[in-house]
Amino acid sequence: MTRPISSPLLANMWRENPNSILVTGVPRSKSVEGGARHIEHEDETARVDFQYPTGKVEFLHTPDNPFHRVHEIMHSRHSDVSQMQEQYDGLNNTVAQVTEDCRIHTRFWPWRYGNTPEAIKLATRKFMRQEIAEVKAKLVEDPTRRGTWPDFATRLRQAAIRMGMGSTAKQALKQADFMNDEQKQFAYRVLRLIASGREGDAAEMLQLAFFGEPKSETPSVVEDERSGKKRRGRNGASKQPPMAIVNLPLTEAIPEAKIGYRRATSGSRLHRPSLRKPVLPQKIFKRRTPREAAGTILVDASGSMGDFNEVTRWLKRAPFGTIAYYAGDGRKGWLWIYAKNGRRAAEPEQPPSSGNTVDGPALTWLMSQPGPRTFVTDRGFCDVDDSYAQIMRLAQLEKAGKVTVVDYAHDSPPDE
Amino acid sequence: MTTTTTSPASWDARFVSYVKDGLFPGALHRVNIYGYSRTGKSTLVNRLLKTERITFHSAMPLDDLIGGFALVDGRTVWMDGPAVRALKNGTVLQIDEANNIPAECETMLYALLDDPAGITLPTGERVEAKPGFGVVATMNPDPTVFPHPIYDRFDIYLKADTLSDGTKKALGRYAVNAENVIGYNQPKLKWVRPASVNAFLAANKMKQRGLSDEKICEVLGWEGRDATDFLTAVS
Repeated sequence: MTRPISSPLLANMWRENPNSILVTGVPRSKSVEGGARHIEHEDETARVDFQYPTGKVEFLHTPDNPFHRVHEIMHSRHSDVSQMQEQYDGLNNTVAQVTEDCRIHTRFWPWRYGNTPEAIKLATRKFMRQEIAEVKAKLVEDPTRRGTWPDFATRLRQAAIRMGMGSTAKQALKQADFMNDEQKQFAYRVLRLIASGREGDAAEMLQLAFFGEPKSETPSVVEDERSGKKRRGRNGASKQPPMAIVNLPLTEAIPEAKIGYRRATSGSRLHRPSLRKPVLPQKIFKRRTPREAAGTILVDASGSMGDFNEVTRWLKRAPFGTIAYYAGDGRKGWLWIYAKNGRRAAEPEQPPSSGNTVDGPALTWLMSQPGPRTFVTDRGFCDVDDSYAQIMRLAQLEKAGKVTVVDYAHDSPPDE
Repeated sequence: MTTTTTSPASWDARFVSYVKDGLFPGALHRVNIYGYSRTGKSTLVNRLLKTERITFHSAMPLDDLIGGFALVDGRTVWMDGPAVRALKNGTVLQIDEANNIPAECETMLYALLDDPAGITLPTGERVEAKPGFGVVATMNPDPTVFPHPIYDRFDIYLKADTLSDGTKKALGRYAVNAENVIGYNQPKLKWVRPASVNAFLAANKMKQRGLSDEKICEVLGWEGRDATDFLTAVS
């Protein structure tokens, strides 16, 4: 859709190749009338321009690197703009790009396993070495970026490239050198979804894990504006199970939620310790001041966390802020608000089932609450498709300092 | 079955290997050797293939190519020219200075470069190419001097930018010196074969003979990035 830059100052940075051999690899049915055109770039520009609204290939932009040339040919053959819009609707642009890259590499690498021509194999390896060297250089500058989206996405794509060229998933993931086993497992699940044609779900998992909920969601079946026919939305888009928020009656005052005080220059009650000072301070009065209920604590009340009494122990130990716990039965879930604003329920309600199910919605709820946020969980999310994405999402939020995770299998409740 | 042949580097070694492998004349019939003068292009072809030979010049009549009527014992008798002899005998027609295509011969040359080749003589006789027929055109400038129908008919292009082995032998101990002055006062040869219909036709003929895509690239004259582009495009 974007035409090549036409500034005469930049003209020497690219040129059209009118006798391109490469462009003969774009199927006629996927090219604009008159055939796709090949623009050779001196820099690293690599992209395919699809004509709007036909989605046909208009320009193939490539640098000198053979790997990029193969990559763009694959896009021109196998990327369908309208399908991409459906699959990746509402997702972050880089998530969509990386997922699409992984899709074409795992499923459409032009050569059979092990039959990649030597020159292309060498060029691909060289490209991957350079890319990972750049990532490493960035990580030396800022080690905290290890495991973040750019780092993970680069390694995920490299694993997809290797798998496309014939490596086993195990080899490819090992060579990609993810930050930890969690990320490696997550990458495996994402690539497995992509390989089975569920790239929309894979992209959604990536989005959830690194960027939070997608902005909009394509319904699983949508009405086609032109024909009135129904067409498929994002592939197998799994809706998150519903989560009911139960506000327990907050009948008990929390004894630990004491009223605080502050020193003031006027008031009706003296602050006696101040009177004992050799030089009398200005603030010798004290005034009552309510201690604000700060922060939110969310407790994972699933079976993997142990007996519910353990959960209760945690709930009762946390005097301030909003305290909630959640559980699910595999199809739906509940989140009970046990305490808020210095008051709590007489007794926590026993969950009817001890599954996880709504880890995602519960985490979303936690993130919508005022901070600081604490999540008491063993991270054993399960029951639904996006469980692994939610584990990754929690790890990313924790890394970003937006939530503190307390593993109560190892940690003790406060004040114990 | 995939033929795996080590790729000889110089143009003359490649040409010899194609002849020895039966690739030319065989699967492919039309070769163009262009490049610096005195590199041994014409001599190599002639000695290797025992060719019917003709040298083009702009004023050459058609008779010189296909033949004509001659007065023999008071009667007019048709005498075959080199092209017709090559067609009938299944030998290689060597055209030197092929860039100087005479206007009279241009369309006849299309027919000779067709696959299968064949021409109709002024006598009305139709002559089809026997197996073993082929055309080798040698010249100094690059192939862009050809009209497109001729340019797109050659299967193999070889760039003669080094001395052939035979020439080196003839030069003896001065071969090194001669090699250093090979391109003096001559236009640089920068031409690279573009993608064309005939290139892919030739590729398919080679594929049917079991050649690998890498070998096909080499025969078509595509190296480096052009080779990887071809391998990608045909994947």
